[in-house]
Amino acid sequence: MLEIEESRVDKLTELFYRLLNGRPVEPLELPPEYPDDEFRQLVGYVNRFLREFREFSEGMETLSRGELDFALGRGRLGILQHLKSLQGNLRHLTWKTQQIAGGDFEQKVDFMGDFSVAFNSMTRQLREAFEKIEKQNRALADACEEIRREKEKSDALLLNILPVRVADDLKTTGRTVPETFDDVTVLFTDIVGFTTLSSRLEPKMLIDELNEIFTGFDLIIERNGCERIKTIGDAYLAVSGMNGDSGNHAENITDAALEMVRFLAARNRDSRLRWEIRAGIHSGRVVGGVVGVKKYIYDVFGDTINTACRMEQNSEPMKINISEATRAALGDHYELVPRGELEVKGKGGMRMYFVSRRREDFSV
Amino acid sequence: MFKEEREELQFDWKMIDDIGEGRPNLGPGMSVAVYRLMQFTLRDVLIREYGVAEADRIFFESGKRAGEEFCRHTLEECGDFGEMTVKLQETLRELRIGILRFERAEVEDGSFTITVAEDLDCSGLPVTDETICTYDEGFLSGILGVYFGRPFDVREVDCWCTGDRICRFEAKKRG
Repeated sequence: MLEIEESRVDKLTELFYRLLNGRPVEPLELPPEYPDDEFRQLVGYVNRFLREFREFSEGMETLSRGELDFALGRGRLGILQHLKSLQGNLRHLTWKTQQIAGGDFEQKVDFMGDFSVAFNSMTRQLREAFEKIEKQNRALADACEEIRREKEKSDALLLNILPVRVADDLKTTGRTVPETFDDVTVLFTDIVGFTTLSSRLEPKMLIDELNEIFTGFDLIIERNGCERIKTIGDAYLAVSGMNGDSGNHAENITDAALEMVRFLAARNRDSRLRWEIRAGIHSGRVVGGVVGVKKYIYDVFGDTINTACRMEQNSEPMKINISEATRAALGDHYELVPRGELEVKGKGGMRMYFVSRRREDFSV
Repeated sequence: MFKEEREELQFDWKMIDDIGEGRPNLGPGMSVAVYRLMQFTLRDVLIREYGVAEADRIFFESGKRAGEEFCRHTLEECGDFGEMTVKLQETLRELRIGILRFERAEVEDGSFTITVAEDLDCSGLPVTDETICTYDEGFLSGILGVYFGRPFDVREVDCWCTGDRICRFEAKKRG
């Protein structure tokens, strides 16, 4: 018969009382001389239970704070093993969540009961939402691209009828004010015998011809840093020096005029219809501004325009007639043929020159 | 093919061959008990013949070889790491090898904590305070080694036989 002192049983009772009431508990101790009997064995099991229960309890407390990175020792107590499994599952879920947060919606959670269902459902909905947003983003990007293309078209269209600076003003402020340009050079060309020839041509052919010629002129004008203002029938009006960035406006437009004559001459060699132009150039002050509200037309006004027109009228087929003002602006960069003073309607005598070519030592 | 002497390992996936044709009635599945019967009798003989350490080494190397071939055969087309983990988990589940989960993955450092629940080798065995899934250590080492193109050390830190309910492996890129 095993005999145990009452005080030892009391300590055992107190230990479980404290444990069940959430109080700190210390392991039971037996003196070394205590016999190796069933009670010592019982105390050994109780102390092992306390150790593993304490580890479980501390682990649970850590877990309840949301901390997953803690080590649990090895123990055979069921609740300790279950806690370890729970910790492992939560670590796995955390990792899965990180993967999904990184955009990997293929991740799934298996064999975790209701949690798997909820988690996988959440992932599926996230993927669907993400795909929907991506689809909307793509549609938005497509729409932006479409708008960008349309804007490019409208900008190009605007630039066809307005100078860059004026178009920019209209786009940013919605309005533009007339401007005086003190020192620009104006080119006027006119097709020789157009009226006579046009009466013999089919309208479509006539327009096609004009379109081809003026398209060629436009490219030349643009290439030489000048601005096409308008065409009036077979007449073509361009200005150089209005953009403020052209110090050689007279040279630019003279080069353009020479190139236009060469372009037409080259075209005539291969074309059934042969066209010739008269060109006139004058330098001076002009006023530029937009005329109209709905159908914008940019136009230039002033005596310089009229004089350039007179220069053209006093020119000859495939020749470029310039005024004294333009000659002064050109300096000695071009070979010129002086024509003396010619009578100009409303202005009296004006000195004029034909431009032959740019001098080679001043070639661009 | 199977029994010739060799200096180099010669296993090829083709050696598994067409199970569907060979087992039209019984199919590709079999009892876990039979797998364990083979594994533990083999381990038994190996330990008797070569000792525990050498038997462990042979198991690890065999598992590693299996992992390498498994990765080449099953995970070859996987792109990024996430895709690989999904495919690996799915395949191990479909083949009923175990429920593999990643607890931690530091891809840049090549450091991972992987668990396998319901492991083929050990789930349900008596608690003996030993980690016994040496073949799995090699298997994971082979997979990671082929996927990342670098050797991996894999160590089982928790096992059913140590009293845990899942097997936990720490994997670390060597060097």
